[in-house]
Amino acid sequence: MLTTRRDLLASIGAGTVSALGAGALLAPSTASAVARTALRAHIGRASPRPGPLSLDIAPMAENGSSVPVRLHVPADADGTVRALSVLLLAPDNPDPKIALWHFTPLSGSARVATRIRLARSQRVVAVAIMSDGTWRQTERAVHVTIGGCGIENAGQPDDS
Amino acid sequence: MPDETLIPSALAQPRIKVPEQARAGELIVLKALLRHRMDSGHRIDDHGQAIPRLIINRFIVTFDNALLFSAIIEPSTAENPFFEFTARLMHSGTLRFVWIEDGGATTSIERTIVIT
Repeated sequence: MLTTRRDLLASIGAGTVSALGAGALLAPSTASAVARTALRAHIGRASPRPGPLSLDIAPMAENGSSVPVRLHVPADADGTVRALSVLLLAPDNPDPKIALWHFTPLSGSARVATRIRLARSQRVVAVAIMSDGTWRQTERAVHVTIGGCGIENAGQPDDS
Repeated sequence: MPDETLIPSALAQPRIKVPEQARAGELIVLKALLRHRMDSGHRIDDHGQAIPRLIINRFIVTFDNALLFSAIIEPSTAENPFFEFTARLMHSGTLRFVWIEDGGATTSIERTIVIT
């Protein structure tokens, strides 16, 4: 489900009631404040617009310590506008930043797949900057059964 | 072909998947995996002590010394960081994958690809 920038910023805001209905994001928390700061530091005063930016994550994750994610920012039809970078955030993690990926003309396409940590159920946010200076964003809700962010007292969360 | 020129470190030997050859301009898929605990700094050990942060924070891929793909990696990337991404190459050359850990330890691997 794509949302507007206003919804995103509201949801990441300090306890602002958002239209997203994402309970985890409604309460003011250190994590969401950190996420808001991280997003602001990255985009400045830019106004990201929804998509086209595909963010594939299974809606249910049994183990939050390693959740597969697949991103693709399609270039414009004539190939002149391409993604320069994508920032991925897990706003309700103790450390919301996941990674910032940079693409080049040698990349051929702005695609990346990786595995991320999700401490709890939340909406994962991706923000892309395009070569024409515009921003795109999207987000996906993920329900996490067992949180994993290296915060539980378990040496090897993957073994649990 | 593993690169032996870097300073030896305790980092694991990386694993990559690169096609041996491809057509010029073809979109190819590259995969890279490094075994690493990626200690986030938020984990507590059995004695109640915080385990300090120690992660792979950079991943850089070059083709004949030109930047192809790079990542600034943060603690919410899972352990044993894995990346799958693409390349579109017009001539044969050498791909080089470099991982950098907090504190500066590095490991890398190179692979030649033939473009037909």
